[in-house]
Amino acid sequence: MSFLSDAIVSAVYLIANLDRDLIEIISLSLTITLSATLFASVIGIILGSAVALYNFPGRNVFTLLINTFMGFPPVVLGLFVYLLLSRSGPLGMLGLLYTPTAMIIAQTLLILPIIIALTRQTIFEVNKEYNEQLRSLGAEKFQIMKTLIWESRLTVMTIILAGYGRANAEVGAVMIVGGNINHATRVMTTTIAHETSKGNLILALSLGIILILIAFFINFAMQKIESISEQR
Amino acid sequence: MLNLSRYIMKRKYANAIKIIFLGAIFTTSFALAEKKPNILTISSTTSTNDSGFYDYIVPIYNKDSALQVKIISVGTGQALEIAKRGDADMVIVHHKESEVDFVKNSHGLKRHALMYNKFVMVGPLSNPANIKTNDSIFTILKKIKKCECNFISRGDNSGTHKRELELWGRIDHTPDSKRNKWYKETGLGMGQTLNITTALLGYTLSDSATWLNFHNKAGLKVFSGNDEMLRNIYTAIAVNPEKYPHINVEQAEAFIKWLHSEEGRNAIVSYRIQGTQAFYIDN
Amino acid sequence: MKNINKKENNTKHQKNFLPLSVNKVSLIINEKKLLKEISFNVKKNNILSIVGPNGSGKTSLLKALHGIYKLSSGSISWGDCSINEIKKMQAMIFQNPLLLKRSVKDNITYVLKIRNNTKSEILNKTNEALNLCNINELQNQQAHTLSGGEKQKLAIARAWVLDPNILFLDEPTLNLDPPSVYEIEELIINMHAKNTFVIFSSHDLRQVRKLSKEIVFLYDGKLIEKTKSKKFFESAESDLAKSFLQTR
Repeated sequence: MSFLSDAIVSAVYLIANLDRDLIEIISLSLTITLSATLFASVIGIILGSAVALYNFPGRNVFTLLINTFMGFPPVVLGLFVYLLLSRSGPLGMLGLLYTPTAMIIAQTLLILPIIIALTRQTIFEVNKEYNEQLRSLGAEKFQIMKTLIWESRLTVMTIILAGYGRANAEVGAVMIVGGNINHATRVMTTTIAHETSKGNLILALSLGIILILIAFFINFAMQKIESISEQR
Repeated sequence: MLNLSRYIMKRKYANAIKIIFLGAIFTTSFALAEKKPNILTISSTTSTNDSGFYDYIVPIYNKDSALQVKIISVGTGQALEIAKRGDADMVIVHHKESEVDFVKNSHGLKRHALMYNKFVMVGPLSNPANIKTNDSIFTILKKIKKCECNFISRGDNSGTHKRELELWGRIDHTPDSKRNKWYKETGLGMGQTLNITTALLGYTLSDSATWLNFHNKAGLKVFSGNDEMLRNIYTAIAVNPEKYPHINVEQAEAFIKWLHSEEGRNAIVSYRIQGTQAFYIDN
Repeated sequence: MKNINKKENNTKHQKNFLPLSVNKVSLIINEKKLLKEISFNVKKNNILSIVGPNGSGKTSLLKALHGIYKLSSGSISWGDCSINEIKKMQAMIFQNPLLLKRSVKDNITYVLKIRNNTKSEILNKTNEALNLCNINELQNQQAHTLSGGEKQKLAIARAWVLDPNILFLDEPTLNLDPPSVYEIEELIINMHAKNTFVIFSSHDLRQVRKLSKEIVFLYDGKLIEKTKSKKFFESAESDLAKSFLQTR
């Protein structure tokens, strides 16, 4: 298990030295993952709640598809977005391939199903509890939707973190649409894959440790916010 | 916003919101895409990139950083595919037949030989195939086949992979991972394939630059020599702007020109990995 | 987003009494007939109570009157108001009132916000409600931390700020301690005094006797009797009513 202690030492060393390249990679990773989480959350929470509350033709099929897409392989999604954004593709004129924007788009699409599906389920259940009372108080459907989302905010927070987790962890999609280009689209996960392929296994593992640490702190911060709001 | 909620209430469709947000993202992306500086996208091979060559030479060329150089590193096959789709301005690859084909079909303008090094056969120190120091590459392959020692192939349509298949062809062997259990195809880049070679203590064909730069060599060494068939020539080709008018032909040709200039050639031969010269140019 | 019913909302609506007419109302949910051809009229603003054994349809009738359940057959009318107009003028206290995960005060301001009150209106009405229901000290406390009685008072405060024409209560003092029961009964009387038409269901016959002037007695989804409460307790007509009163 010495490789683990070697990796931990290497990780500490990297953090202590604030290696410039590392900082660049970490900040790009955070920008992409957090942006994707933000977009997917805003769209997903609203869409998921709407599907839970409003009846429309094809609702069941939609739900089935969304649940299926929760497990969409990142690399396949990456390929799909690549073909979309490629110059020979339908959106080629945007020139988005191999840019951070493309990576944000890919990751947003990747985690969107998770957020929609889980929000839909949550709001559906909460609605069963609250609906009569809220309607009695005079709330219209849209108002009910807003209220239910707020009432379930702790669960919604967890859903957002789940989305973040998936975006943070994936390498397939960002690799294909981003290209792992040095100083342009290289993020933590693609760097880890790259260093692994260069044989720098300990370095790769130490970067993995740093990646998990970042995720840990983000979750820690969320938990703190949760406990503060509980106390109020 | 008032009309929006009425619209939603009336139609009861969540799609309305979805469309608006997607539209917002679209326009944002568009805005982000507009702010492009001068970009040169080079579709190249993992062997050149993993060796650290571009990290070395691009800053020398791009002194004032006016240009944003993007290097995509994949196998030769995929590199050429990317260029055919118009997603790169030029390619730097190392397989003659594919390059000739590429230019013949008007995907690229002209082949420019840049530099060369060699392919190396690496294998375990224990040398189960009993390879001797001056064995030719063909003798080496025959011995590996005879002892049925683990051979790890790139299996990914890369320049290295294609050369490997050509070498097997010369000794009249068609490798088949189904029939020959000792022949393993990874479908991965050179570095990852080397990782697997280390783990399985097998033999593999690598380009010399990646091998020099590889940090997980434990248990492996080079067995091959300087056979003509192991010469590994890298070629640059600018993509034909006819099909894709946005191609940055000027920058592609400028870079190729520089690589052939005295400054460029000096830069190429001065690249060293662990003290050893990585790429050569015939004068 | 603003409430789209801005136009319809008139917080200063006239509190006229709207005579209730229930006409052959039936309610079938999940293939169970919960209400069976119920008909009755209420022409005067008396507190009306609905009594009957468990499963007799008390809650279903209240929800049907409130418009939460769509009728399977029959009709309900309140004076000459349409269903939509009426909805805004009613409030209901459910058996287990659902309070939002926010402070006591915010629970009250919530209903005023969705009905588009101005900031000063919200402030005034909320304070009035908090004082009236005696929960002023609790205003910043999280609603889910309240005791049963306090929760019920909050529910009433919440209904109170709407100044509804019609107030429904479903077993309002179930499981509450005597002081809370008394407080809530006083609030109900208070609201009735402000010209609110109160309709409630209860198992507590003492409470029914104290508060209501008219009684609707249900059994197995059917209306058995509707009489003045005094008459119901002293000389109920039906056998079912008699045995109901005896077993208590």
